[in-house]
Amino acid sequence: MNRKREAFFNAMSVFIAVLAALLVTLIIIFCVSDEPVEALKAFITGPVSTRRRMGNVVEAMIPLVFTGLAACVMFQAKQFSLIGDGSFLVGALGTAVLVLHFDLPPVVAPLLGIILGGMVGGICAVIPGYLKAKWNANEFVVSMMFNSILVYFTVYVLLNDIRDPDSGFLASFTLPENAKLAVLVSKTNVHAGIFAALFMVVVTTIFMYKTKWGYSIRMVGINPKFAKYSGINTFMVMFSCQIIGGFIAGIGGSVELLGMYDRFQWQDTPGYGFDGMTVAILAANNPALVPIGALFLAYIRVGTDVMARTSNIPNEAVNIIQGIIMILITASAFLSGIKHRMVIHSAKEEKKQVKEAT
Amino acid sequence: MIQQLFTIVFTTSFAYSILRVSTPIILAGMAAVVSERAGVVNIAIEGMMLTSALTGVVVSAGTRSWFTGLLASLLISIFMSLILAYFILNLKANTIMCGLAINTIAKGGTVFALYLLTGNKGASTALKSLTVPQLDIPLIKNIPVIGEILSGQNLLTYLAVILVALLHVFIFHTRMGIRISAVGENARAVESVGISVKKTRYMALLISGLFSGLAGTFMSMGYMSGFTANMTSGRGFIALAANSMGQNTPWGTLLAALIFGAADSASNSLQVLKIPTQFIQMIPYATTILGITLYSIQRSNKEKKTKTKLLNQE
Repeated sequence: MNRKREAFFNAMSVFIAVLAALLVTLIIIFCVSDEPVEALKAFITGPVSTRRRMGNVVEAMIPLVFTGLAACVMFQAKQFSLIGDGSFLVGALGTAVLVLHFDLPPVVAPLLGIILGGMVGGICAVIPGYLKAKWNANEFVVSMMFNSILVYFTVYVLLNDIRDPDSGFLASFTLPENAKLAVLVSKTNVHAGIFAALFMVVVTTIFMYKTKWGYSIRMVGINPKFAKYSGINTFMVMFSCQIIGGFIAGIGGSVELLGMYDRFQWQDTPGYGFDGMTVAILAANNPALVPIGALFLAYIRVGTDVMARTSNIPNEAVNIIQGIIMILITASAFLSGIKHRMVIHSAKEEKKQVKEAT
Repeated sequence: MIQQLFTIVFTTSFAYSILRVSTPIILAGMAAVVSERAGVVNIAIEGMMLTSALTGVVVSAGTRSWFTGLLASLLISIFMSLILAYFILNLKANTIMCGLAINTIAKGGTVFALYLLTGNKGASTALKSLTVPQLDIPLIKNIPVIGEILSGQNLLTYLAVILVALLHVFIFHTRMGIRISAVGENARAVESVGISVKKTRYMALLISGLFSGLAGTFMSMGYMSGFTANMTSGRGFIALAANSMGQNTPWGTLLAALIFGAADSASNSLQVLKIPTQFIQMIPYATTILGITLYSIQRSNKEKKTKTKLLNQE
């Protein structure tokens, strides 16, 4: 009963927040656009209007699944670290360096590349994770600062190790065909990375809900003091959950690079770490629901892109929608009154049942 | 190389640039001090800065007065901080998530507005915006070395230093200021003597918004003249770090902001040396992490000591 009620209220608050955000979008469109109906149509039906655009939605969804999972693991332990953003970037960099330096056979190349990307991503999280777990240094600020360092590091490696001087823009040499992930659907870029993403969803869900470690992570998030007194090693939990988050985000970076790009060319974080937080909130921190959250965010992202091309509304509208959704879901107190009444009601029911039984 | 280093660092223009580079971090740092004292980690400083930077540019271009531009940007920043306060305090939303949401909206919303106003997503060059004037200080101006460093700075730089002093007095010597700190230390104890925690936190966030607004205005109407997309580039977060380094005190945070400013200016001028640029650009961020670490170690040791002390007393 209790768990059902929780799930119901989570779903309700997400639903209301999404609705409110779309309403605000509607208002913005009608205020700003000369042809609001056209713009709205582009926003809503644009992503499913052609095969290519449907492909775009799935392509945009894949990296969001990874960073969404990373954020879920960290949020479950109440660790608000942004390291996923940096891990994603450096994970991809690690993969690029590996596949450019070593001539690996097909299948082995992407596999090794992705594993290395994950490991590098995990290593990125060591400093913010350790400082938080050991001395309670604010993980948000430290990871934010550390991400800047990682960006400069990436630019350094790109310039001095893998840069292709003959390329017209700042980018690495072309990645070998052997390493690239296969395209699954013709006329789109939907690549084999989607299997990796769904695999990670399953693994992370099992890890969080069926293993002792996952249980410890959730306990530390619910009540760190209680977790500590009941014998959970809170230091290891806080330390490890950021590293696991970095690992998953790093894999995401590798998959995105090998699936979507011909060269490594990022000179800044692509920002998927941030978006992953929105996805995690939409999924109520439940890894199993991450694909749905990622799909939704990918859909409105492609929708605003289509709208930007057909009307005068810039695609930054997506940030506004994203922000409103985030703030409204976390402010679920607007539902707490109803929730409170429901709790009392169900308690009374139970009491009645007990009375009747005796 | 060392000699080269010295000739760069010991120049008046270097010292002048430290003050200039530090100003937004000092102002945003004060925003962090006030909110952190009330027990709220205000991540939205970054977003408020960005929004007021744009507002200042747009309003000053429209009204042809830098002062109205400044005023408008302060108002918008305070308005945003009140929204943040409403969500955190009335709707009990998670502070960090709300801050992130406000930052996301500000980052996209400023570009959105800029594009609608000027048709350009990158910079506000189409708007003829004004800047807050620079001041020559009469007597100091004529002193050889000091004059070159201290005189001719932006009005907001001087204001920043004055406000640090005022904030120090406010926090440690006024009733409201002491209440704010008390709320941050132990909200329940404060509530039990009949002071409203909510009102106090509202007050703290309002002041925090005011300082964020000043910091943002300086970015687009002092540090640079005009708005560019995401021009605050993480200074709001650096301010939070400066506050950690400065141990939640105005003067400490000022010092931390100056250290950061020095590292940042150094990274600009050290680029003539043969070390790869990227490593020099890391210096300010590495310094900040080091500062936070040292502070956190010190704090956690202190906590341990008090704990053992209390246990021994029993």
